[in-house]
Amino acid sequence: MKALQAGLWLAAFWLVLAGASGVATAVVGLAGAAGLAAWAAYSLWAEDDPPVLSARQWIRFAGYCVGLVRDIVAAAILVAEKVLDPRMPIDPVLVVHRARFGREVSKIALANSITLTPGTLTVDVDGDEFVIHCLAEEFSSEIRDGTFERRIRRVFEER
Amino acid sequence: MSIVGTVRYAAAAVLMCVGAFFFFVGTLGLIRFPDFYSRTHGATKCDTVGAGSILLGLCVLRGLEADVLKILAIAAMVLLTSPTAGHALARAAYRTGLRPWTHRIGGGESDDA
Repeated sequence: MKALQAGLWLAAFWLVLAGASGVATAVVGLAGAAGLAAWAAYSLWAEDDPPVLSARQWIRFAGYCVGLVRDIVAAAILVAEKVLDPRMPIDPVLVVHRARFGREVSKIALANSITLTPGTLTVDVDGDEFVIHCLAEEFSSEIRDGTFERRIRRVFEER
Repeated sequence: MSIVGTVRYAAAAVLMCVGAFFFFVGTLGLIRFPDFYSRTHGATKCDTVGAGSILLGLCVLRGLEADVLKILAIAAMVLLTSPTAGHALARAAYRTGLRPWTHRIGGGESDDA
């Protein structure tokens, strides 16, 4: 299953980059994708849990991305206001947030989403403890009340 | 040029201007912010919003062609690597004991610049 999904992604990536440039190119790419996927499944991911998502999780992930883009734009405007304000009204705080996840990929997704959102930056992840630097306290509300965490849980943890 | 082409051109131009604006704000933040952590905010947020909307503008300009998939691949790459790099920098600073700048009540700058 994980080899198949990885292989499909690699093949799709190859086809996107190579475009329609002949049968030979496509065959080489597909063979390479199959080989890489097999190697990854049996050697690279022999012990860890690779970020494989089910079809339903992929659909929820797409929805999650749309929501994230909306949040990012809203936060970017807030940060831009603070940067352009001559008084520069920032008041940085460090927030420590605990989030228990069953999979490594959920932690990565949460840390990455927090860093992508303007005004918040994941400084350290230690076990289930996230240390987050916020430009002002107002940016930390969605993290502290667990909204962010619940969304990640719905995408990656529920089957 | 057809009406659709004109509208597409205009939309692409607006998106790229928005991207340039956020790059400008990010760079300004990089210069104005007081310490390493808040400057990292400035540097990494350019990528998310600035590069994101410039790439989106390029997609709109290109229309429905296979090249758009390549641009989307670049966007996915930027959105994955930019926070990773920002986090790696911030984590290294945090683990070596750099304290974040905070307001000091009673005036005066914080001592760690």
